[in-house]
Amino acid sequence: MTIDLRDPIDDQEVGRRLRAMFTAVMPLLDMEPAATEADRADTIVVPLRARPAAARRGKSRRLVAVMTAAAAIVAVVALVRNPVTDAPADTSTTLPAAPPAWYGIIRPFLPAGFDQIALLEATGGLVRFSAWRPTTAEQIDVTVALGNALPPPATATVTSSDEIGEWYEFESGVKVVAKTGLSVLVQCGMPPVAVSLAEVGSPPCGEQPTAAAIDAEVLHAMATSLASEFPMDSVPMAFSQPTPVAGDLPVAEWINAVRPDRPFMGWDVEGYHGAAVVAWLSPSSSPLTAVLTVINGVYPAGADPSVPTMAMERMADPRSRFTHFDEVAVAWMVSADGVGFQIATTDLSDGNLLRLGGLIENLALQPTDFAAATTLPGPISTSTTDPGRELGDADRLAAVQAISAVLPIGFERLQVSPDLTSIQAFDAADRVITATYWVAGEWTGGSTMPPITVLGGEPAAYLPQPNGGVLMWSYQTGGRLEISCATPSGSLCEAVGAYDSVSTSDLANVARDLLPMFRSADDGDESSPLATLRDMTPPEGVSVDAAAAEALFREAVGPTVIEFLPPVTGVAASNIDEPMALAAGENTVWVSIVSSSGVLFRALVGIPSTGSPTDAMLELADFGLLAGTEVAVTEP
Amino acid sequence: MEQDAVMAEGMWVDPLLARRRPALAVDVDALYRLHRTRLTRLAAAITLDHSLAEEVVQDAFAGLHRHRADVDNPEAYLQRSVVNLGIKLLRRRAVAGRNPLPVAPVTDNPELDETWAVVRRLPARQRAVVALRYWCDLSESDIADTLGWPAGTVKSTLHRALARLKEELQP
Repeated sequence: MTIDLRDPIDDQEVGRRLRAMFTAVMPLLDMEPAATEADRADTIVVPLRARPAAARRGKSRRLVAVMTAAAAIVAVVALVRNPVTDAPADTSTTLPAAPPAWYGIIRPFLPAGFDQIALLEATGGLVRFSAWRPTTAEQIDVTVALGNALPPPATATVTSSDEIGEWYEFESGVKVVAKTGLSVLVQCGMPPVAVSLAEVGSPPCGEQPTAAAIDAEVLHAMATSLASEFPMDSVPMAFSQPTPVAGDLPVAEWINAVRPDRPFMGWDVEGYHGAAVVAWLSPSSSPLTAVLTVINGVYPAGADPSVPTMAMERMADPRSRFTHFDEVAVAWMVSADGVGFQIATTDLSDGNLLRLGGLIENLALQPTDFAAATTLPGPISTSTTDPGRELGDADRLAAVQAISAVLPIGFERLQVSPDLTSIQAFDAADRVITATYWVAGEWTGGSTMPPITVLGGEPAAYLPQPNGGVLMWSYQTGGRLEISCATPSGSLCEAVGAYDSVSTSDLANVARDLLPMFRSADDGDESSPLATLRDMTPPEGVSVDAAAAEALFREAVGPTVIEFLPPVTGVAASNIDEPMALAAGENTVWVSIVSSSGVLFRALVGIPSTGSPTDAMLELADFGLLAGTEVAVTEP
Repeated sequence: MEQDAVMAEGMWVDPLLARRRPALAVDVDALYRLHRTRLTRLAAAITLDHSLAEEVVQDAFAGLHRHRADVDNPEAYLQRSVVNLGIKLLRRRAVAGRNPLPVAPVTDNPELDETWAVVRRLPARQRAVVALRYWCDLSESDIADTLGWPAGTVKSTLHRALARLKEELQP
């Protein structure tokens, strides 16, 4: 392994390269891909792959998207067990009776123990795959291509040259441009994940304290073998199509399955390399401490007798799932259906590893029963174990976080009714989600949507409403939840072109997650998030002179105030007394604040097109809101 | 009444917007001919998928057509829509890698290819901000206005993207 002593490039150089790159590359991005043999085979062509024209039909596509989203909720179980794909049989994620054709070609090039492989891409001139040693969670990523077409490091100097070709060595692997006409890139781990997991340290390969460590020599030998002997000519026949991409997997469902285990405040999903789905998991928005990677089409699947794997049953100590690589711990499991799960974390505490170890077992061992993923305690508990203890900020925050976690991003100001039958969630502007729960008799409304399974295992049906909302009904308890999102003026929250649009399918997901919370509160569980929220808010005896508050605010800010919404009392939020701003258009901005008295103030402020800079305007607006908060709220 | 006139055309409008802004005549067809190519490139840089990029641009223009009475800066509206729709589409469908660009170089300059390869690996939000900053030459403030994001979010997103670029690009 080499040590790079060169100085990093600076911002100016990065900017220069980016401008030059965009100038050269962007004109290529709107080119209609040529109809090639590869195109007819539904594979990637230069510069970008085209999908069938039918897939670009606007209206039908939207309808399909809605139906697909609805179906995804219903069919998660079936999808996990039998992913729907148009891939040939030998790349299906169902357990094959015999290895797929590509397995026998690739396996001989890998070191001992790297028995589980996923073919990620095969486009004729390029083959890319990853392999895992299931007993140690080690991972190797390999790309073989015709010609010298592989980054990185495209501009690095050649570190050595021999009879094989020209070699490039770098921290996570090695690349060779071989005289055979192939270029080979062999890397440890999954670099984008390792790089993106902040200050993650070494990727899961190279310096781990295992007897069979994969070091630079092993990688070099692999690259030599691949460059010399990999049967590229047989690739088009052996790999008629890339492995089904994990983008088709129900990642949202997996994330939802995670939540009861560990109410992650922050999570995000990104795709890498066409086959891996990556979900960031963290108990707070920063720093991100864990990443879940899901890879479809791994062979052999878990519990396959042909490969030694770690226990395919729950371990007494789930921490044993992890292999430690310097500052990161990695766990790897493959479900019986061939879906690979990798969790990497930089939080090496026993509690975290215990929870994440249990999580990966839940995901890999019981993918068809997400209800089972609700048994482990999370780091943020909303339980008041001592009924006599006084609730504090931690309880309020925990309750807010537990509820906010199932709401669209931004709806973090919450108000619950005293009888726990409804909540309202306000965003940083003028939108509000209203959810109301009640128990009624048998369902009589009918539904064109198939039933879904609510977290906790109860079956439910839902019916989209004319107002863009959703009515959800539990078969099990008769509980009904009606949810919608609108502005005070009646505008819906779904808008074309809006980044923060809240669609009907979004609301269906929220209803599904809120239903168990309401049911728990309705059952009298005083430790439920809703009950905790009620106990903390609203403060008793707070009154607001709305007219005085508006007058004060307008006086402080001036004529640019477009609208001052009626203050809302009894609002809980994780950020108290912190003004927030949200651009509402080119020349307008929403400003809002929740006071320590639980009062939400919101105002729409115009920004003169030739006047003050935006930041100064925001400061002025924030000042006005703070002043309004202090003066207009009357404590008893 | 302005709002009544809009409603008489059978279009739904936000009453708040209708109250605030005068209706402007927007020639969507002319805008399509003028901006389609540039917007498709921008969308492709975010989605890394030609067909998704086309869909995003079509949706953006469809949105403009529906809301043309409320939009006083159609170019800014389109740019914002393309970026936000592109990011949203990726988040919802988790398809960032569904149709990735080929690993093979797209230019004859290795340095540019390496830079493009690193940009491709950025999260969609970071990729969008980088494109707006270094291809569209927008300032951080302009990006915030364009996307409707807080200025601090733009700054931190761009900072993270550049940090990663500096880490991965070869001197």
